Amino acid sequence: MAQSNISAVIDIGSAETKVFIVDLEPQLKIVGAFSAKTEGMRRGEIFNLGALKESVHGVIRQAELQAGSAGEIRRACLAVSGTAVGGFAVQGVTSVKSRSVSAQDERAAEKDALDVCLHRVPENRRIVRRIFRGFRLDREREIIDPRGLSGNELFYDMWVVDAEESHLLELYQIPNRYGMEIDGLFPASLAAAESVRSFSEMDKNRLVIDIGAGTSDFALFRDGRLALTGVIPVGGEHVTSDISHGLQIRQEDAERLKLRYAKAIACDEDVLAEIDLDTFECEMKDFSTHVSRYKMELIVQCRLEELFGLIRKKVEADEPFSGVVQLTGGTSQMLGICELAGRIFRSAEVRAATPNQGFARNYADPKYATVVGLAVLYRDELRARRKSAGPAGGLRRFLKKIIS
Amino acid sequence: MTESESLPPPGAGTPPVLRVKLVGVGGSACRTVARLCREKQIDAECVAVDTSAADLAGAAASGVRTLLIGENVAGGAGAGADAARGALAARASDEALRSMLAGTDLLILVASLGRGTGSGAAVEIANLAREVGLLCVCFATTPFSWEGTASTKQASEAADALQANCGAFILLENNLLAQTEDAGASYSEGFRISDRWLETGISACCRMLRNDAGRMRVDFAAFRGLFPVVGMRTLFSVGFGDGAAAQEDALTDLFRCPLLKTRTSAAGPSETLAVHIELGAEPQISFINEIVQRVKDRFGGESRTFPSYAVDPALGSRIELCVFGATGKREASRVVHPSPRTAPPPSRESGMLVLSPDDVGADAVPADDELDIPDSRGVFGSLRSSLFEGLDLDKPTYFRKQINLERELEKKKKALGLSGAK
Amino acid sequence: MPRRQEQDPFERIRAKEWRSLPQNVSVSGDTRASKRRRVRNASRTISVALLFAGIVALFGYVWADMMRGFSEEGASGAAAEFSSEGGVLDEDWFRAWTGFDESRAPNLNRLRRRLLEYPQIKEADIRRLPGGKIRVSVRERRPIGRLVGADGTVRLVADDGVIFPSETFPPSRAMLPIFEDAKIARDAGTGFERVEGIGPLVEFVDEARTRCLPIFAEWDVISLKHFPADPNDVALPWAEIRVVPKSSAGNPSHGRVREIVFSAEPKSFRQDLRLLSAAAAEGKLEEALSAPEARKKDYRILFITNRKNPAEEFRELRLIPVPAAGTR
Repeated sequence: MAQSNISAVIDIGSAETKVFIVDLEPQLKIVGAFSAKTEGMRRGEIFNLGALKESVHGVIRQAELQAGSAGEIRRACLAVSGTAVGGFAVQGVTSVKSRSVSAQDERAAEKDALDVCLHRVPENRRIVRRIFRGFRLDREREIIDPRGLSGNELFYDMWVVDAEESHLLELYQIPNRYGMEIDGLFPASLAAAESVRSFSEMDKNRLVIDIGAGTSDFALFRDGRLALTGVIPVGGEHVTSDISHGLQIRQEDAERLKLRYAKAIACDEDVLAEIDLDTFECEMKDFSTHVSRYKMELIVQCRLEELFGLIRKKVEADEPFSGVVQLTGGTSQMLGICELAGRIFRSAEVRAATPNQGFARNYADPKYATVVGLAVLYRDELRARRKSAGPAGGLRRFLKKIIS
Repeated sequence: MTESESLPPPGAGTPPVLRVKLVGVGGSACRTVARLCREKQIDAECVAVDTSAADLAGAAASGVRTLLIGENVAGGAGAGADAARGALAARASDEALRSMLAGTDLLILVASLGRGTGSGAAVEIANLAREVGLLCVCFATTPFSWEGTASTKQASEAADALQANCGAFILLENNLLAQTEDAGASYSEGFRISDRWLETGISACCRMLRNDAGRMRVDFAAFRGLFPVVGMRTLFSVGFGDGAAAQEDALTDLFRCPLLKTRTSAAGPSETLAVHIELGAEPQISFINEIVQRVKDRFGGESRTFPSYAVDPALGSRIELCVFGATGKREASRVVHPSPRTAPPPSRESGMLVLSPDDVGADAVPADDELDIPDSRGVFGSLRSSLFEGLDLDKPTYFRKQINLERELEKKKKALGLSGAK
Repeated sequence: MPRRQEQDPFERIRAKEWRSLPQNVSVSGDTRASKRRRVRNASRTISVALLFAGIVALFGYVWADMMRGFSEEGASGAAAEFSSEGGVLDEDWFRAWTGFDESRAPNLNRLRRRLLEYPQIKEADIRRLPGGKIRVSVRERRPIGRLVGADGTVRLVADDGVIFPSETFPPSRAMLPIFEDAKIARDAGTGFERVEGIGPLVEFVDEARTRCLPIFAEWDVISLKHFPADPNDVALPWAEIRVVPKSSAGNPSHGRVREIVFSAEPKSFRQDLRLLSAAAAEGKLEEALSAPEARKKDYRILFITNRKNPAEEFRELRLIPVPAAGTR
């Protein structure tokens, strides 16, 4: 396999880091994969960079060994998430010069949008991705290709995802210190949305919510085009922490309890049910006690209701949402979570979603949603780059290959 | 009878008089001590210690001995919310406190942490007790979360200091206690619940040791042996049962007591235990044995267990249990009976001169130690607090929305017609 | 503000994107996995370098071994050159302690062991120079305090806790504070006596000597009665370092500082020393002691944390009156 096509695709989550070693051409193929617990990150924030590096490097190495290419991979693609990531809408405008929209008008509107974007991004932040949403002619519906249409003013709509510079620099250190250059960077919400996209839903209204351990990333698509992305700094760890606090048990026991018994909606049939920690697999035989299942389910329901409520508030800031809600990520597998989300997003159909990309059929688990989507986005970006570079770019790449 | 120890035959000789002093430090604790002495007839000498003359007047009216400290520091007006002021007041009244503690075998210290006198003076008094070789059992309450983070922080630091200096330290976390019952919306309800737990714990402790009515009592030397060094984590639990299944109910209550789950409570079984049983009629040996064995199964007591019981006909079918133990010795602080200072402590004079950083031009220096983040942020306590649209999402949602889990459970049971079921 | 800049926004936007942030791509080796990668990537270079290093090391070892001379046979007597790095021991002491005789061939190993039997010596290095001369270099322990025995004998305490005699030290260099109530244990390996838990104390003394030398010079006794033997216990509430200044310190008609009580915890005592140094340097301490109400009174200096404003806590220096000596 040509070495220049091999890259590492890395999703550093608060609980688990997943790495794919992928062969990008001619067809996307996973040649090595590994995942393991992440240290030093919580709620999408890095609190111990040394520990984080140690754990992520270990995962990369194992994936490389699996791919049989330890020490040869030089490029990486990362997903970025957490409270350090934000997003905002930008609109540029230009007057249509002649009676119908021309390519120059489009470019002028785009230029204006970039200008606005440059003013809006603060000093200490960097743009991660600019996503073109569409044109509007005289404030009518969005149009992808207004060329030749008549109008007075052409608007260029863009969604910009930005992130704190300090967070990015810390994140860069992780693959850099392993000898890898970051060649691609994508918001985790976009990556998750890409991995669970199905052909039939491509032009529909779709809200993808990736509920991870530390954060919940969401991406909203209207008529198949990205409308907004966002991150809520709440995830599965918060559910565990709430259970630990509410039932006065240790975090580790709360995690196991959650995985075994948790439901997103408090059930009437569990009102009298109790869990005897004596017979449950507690690591330390503490003063064992019984805990009420109903109370635990109440605690979980409160947290998840609030989470979905916050997402709904963001999503429906401009107009109500009706369409499909796709839940993915590790926490999306909790019993009753789709039903609970359905109560919050009343006009939407809620379902659990798993990665459905052919190359990753062995990784059709919701927790791999981000890393699978990342591989797809990266491959697409590389193709787009090659196309825009033209033959000269191909020659440069060939020379680079010879030299390396 | 268990084979744990041999006991003196009933009525053999007159046991030595145990001198117990129950000392409340700070306004709230003084009121609790005054009420206990008035209503429960605690067999201990009760003293109220405070920096506020007005608060002490209330306690004095209940017939409790009072001691105003730090007149030159607080001017009799209280220490406010300043633990440093409370501590200074106690140091300034060192002599008076020493003479108050003289002739005492057991000091039961009650403090309401979070306020100035409770947090500051209580630590100094515990220090003093340790110095003169007294066994100090401390009951302390922590503020409710709505009383503010400054209070909570001060309480947390005081709790750590008290635990390090007391033989036994029992922390009553008001937030947790309110969750155990129907707290309602009013904060006075919360205070009522907190007081009830305090009274329960203190009276159980006193009855365990001053059991002249009973046929067995926990010997003070044995009780003292439960806490060989200061700074240990205390195992303390109480349980009550009534009616046909009184024994089972009392044991269940004992094993589920919320006082076992505070952050300073014992981390595991205790090698030595003291178990006290109160009931309404003379029990059979097998009855006592069974209770003690069940308690040992749960709480340890492998090395020694000291059982005691008392009969009070007024209890009827009610059974009350109390357990004491300790875990986690701190090897370095082996000084339970330290040698007295080679020189007597200096008496404090008035007219203390103070140099503050404003005078010396020193920069404001950061706090001494890393601060304890309140427990409610759980594993996120070590991260910087960040608000998301005005919400601290790291705190549990049910906690922020003040949802009483127990009440919701009861409501649901009632709605389903399952009230009274367990 | 004008929305249009002169430079093309298509160009300017690139400078604001994530790609424009610098990346420092290098295998750092600060994690296990990256270490392995680095080793693998540079395996050839490393093996050659190792081979070369091995040859050099072997040569060096053989040469050093020749220099040390592990056998007496056939060797003749040799002169000795003694030096002590930054210390006080001289050649006379060396000859007296080791019984070195130039006419006889010394066993260098035995000589080194003998030197290390003296607790003042921390390290000893003995080499045989070309021409047969022997170079003896020693590194002495650095004293930070004194212990005075019941019979008045003075011994010194080193910065690693080892206690050694003070005879070789000139009085001017041995005027260090006296440690009282130190917890002493005997080292099973060397047999030397050692003060337990010395670590934070060394830091304290060094900090005091560096930060406030004039004040430190006035210190007479440092009481370790409440100083824990286990360094992990320095943050306990009762742990403290008490310093007694010399009785001759200060103006006799002014108030006098009898005792200074420092925290045993390093972060706190550093702050305390800063405060004390600032108070002395700015004359505030002297001003307080020379006030009319302070005349001829005795004081203790304490440091407490002022927590009035939770957002900005700070340490305060306090002068507390104490009964004068003789009235206790």
